[in-house]
Amino acid sequence: MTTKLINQNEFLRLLLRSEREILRYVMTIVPNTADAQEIMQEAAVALWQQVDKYDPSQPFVAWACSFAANKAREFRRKNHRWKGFLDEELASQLVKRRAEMTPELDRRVDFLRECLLGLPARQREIVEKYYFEQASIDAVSQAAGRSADAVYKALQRIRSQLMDCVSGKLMAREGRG
Amino acid sequence: MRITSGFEDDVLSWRRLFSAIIDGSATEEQLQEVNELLRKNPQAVDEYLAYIDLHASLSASSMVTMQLSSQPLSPGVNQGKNRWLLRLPVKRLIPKLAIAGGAILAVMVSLVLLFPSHPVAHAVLVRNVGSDLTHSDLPVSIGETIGQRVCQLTHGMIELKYARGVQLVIEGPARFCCQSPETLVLYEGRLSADVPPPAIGFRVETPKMEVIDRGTKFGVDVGPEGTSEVHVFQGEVIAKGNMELQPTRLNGGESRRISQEGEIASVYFRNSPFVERQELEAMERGWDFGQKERWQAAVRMLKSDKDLVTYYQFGDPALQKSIHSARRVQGRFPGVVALDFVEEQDYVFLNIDGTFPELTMMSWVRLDQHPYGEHALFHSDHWHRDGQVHWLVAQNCQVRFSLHRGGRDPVREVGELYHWPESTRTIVNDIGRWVHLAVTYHADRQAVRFYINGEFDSETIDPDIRQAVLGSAQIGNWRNDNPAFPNRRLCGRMDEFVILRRMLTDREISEYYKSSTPYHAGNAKATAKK
Repeated sequence: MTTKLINQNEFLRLLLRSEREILRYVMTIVPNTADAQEIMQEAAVALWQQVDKYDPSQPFVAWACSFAANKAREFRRKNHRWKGFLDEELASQLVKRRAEMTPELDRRVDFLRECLLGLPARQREIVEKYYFEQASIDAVSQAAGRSADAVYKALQRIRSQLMDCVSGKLMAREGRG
Repeated sequence: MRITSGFEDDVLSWRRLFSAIIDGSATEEQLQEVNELLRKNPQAVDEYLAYIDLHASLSASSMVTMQLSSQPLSPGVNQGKNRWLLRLPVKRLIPKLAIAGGAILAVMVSLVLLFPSHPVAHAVLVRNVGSDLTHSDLPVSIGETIGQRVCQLTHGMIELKYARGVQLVIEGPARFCCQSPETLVLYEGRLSADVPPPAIGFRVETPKMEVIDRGTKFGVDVGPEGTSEVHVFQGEVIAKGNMELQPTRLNGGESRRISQEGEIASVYFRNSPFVERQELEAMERGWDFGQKERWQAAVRMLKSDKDLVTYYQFGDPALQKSIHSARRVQGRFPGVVALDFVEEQDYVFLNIDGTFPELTMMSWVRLDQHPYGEHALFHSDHWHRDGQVHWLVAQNCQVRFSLHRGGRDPVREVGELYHWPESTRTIVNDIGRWVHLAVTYHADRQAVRFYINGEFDSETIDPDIRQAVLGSAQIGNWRNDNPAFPNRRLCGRMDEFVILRRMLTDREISEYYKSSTPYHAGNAKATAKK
């Protein structure tokens, strides 16, 4: 009983610590936030069912991601709107390439922090509402006094600006460009 | 993925397609277009992965621990969106987990997220390395939430995950309160904070200062007498003393101190006081592996060595009269005392009679980034006399061991004639972490040998080497009355200082290091603490 309790504590802690990494991984092949979180729900249950098989000498994130990948595949099979996007082979190639790019992607996240600070106030408000406060598009558009379409376009522009900013900082750091 | 001319339009059109997929508005044709693009164009693959990861990182910024706040964020916020654990449909999840043998976990998850341990919970304890953390006099377990009451830990280290993803490492002794989803009050102790973008504006308040994050990593140190310091590792913070009208912006590598009386003082940037998350992970493995017990067993053996001259552990009550001013802080293990050398008057006096044809010196130190050039470890007071010993980390981060050659002009020797024996490796990568340094010498063999983290570094053969004469000496800062020699500083922590009257072997030093390091690289669970 004691051992089991320790495992549960440890499991919860590992899950809490790894959630962001797992979500980033899942979104590679299911890039919609709400859907990716649905997949994580399923993966959490599957992980707990198999927790006794977890080898603590192996990284938890990698182990959890393998479950999340299976759940993502199931999810994509069941949800019609993902059927036309990425077949199995292409999804596997993306996951493989993502693994190769992980150090760079992690560095990009560090720079993202700085780039967010450089956004103009109005764009920053949209990011905060949509991503950080998790407001719906309708709520963001109401708060910003803009149409839902305009908010979608603004988000697209913001992401593009952030991409350029992050890439610029990355190149400057690595002495490229 | 930097856009260059000719390539720009392509990239922008790719991003529009990726956005449509993210938003769920992509048509069947657009999905097929992206598929083709990703099959045929490696640059588009990298752009896709970077773009989606940016979106995912922003989405992931506010996960899980946001549930811990029972206060609504703001009007219009959709409490159900993007919160995957809370969104776990409880009616569905609990039976599933129960069937899976996880009834206790199911209850735990539900309790943590739906009924936090305290009425207003703002943070969750995610790691505990040997601490005695209490909240309203009750112990706190991993996964438990922490609300708006004063928490205390006399020793050990903890990691808290705060609302909106703020991650804090707090080292005991400490007293703090998770005041709100955006504020922690630190009454005493040391913390390092890693604040992700959604939590920009997170605030640490101390009795003398408030520190407002602007997207950064920083450390805050509140001494027992109330002095508050902030040190910025990366990014920017705004710091404001209670008595100040205007706040000050501090960037990476900058710091600020406000005394108990409210006076602002300049202070050099220090990183040694703060344990960050990556280091804490290695220390947690060491703790779980039983390193403290191994070290204690190794010390018992060391103390039984007939050649032991001095073993200093700075929590020893018998040593207290020798310690001048240096603050007692946590050492490399929970519950172990180290000394923090910050001010010029911080040192330990010792007096060791005798002449030593052989010698070993060892110490665990945690150094700052050389604000004053050298780091003084051990300095005999009478440097003009034959055989006096100076052991230090030189400005180049190499470890130096000098024995004075009597009858020669020491100033000329230092400056021109002599190159004192130095390690070949530097400890530059160990700045801000615990590092074990050892040096041995043998007068008859004319040899000085250096060790860093238990590994033999190099041997210097010096025909002029004399027998060591220790006498009165200082550990840490070296203050002397001879104007020919400037005072020397030690900036950082020291935990343990050992002198033996014989050369320890490479193996003995390696074994001692392995038994006394607070870190463990492997997995602790596989070799669990006995």
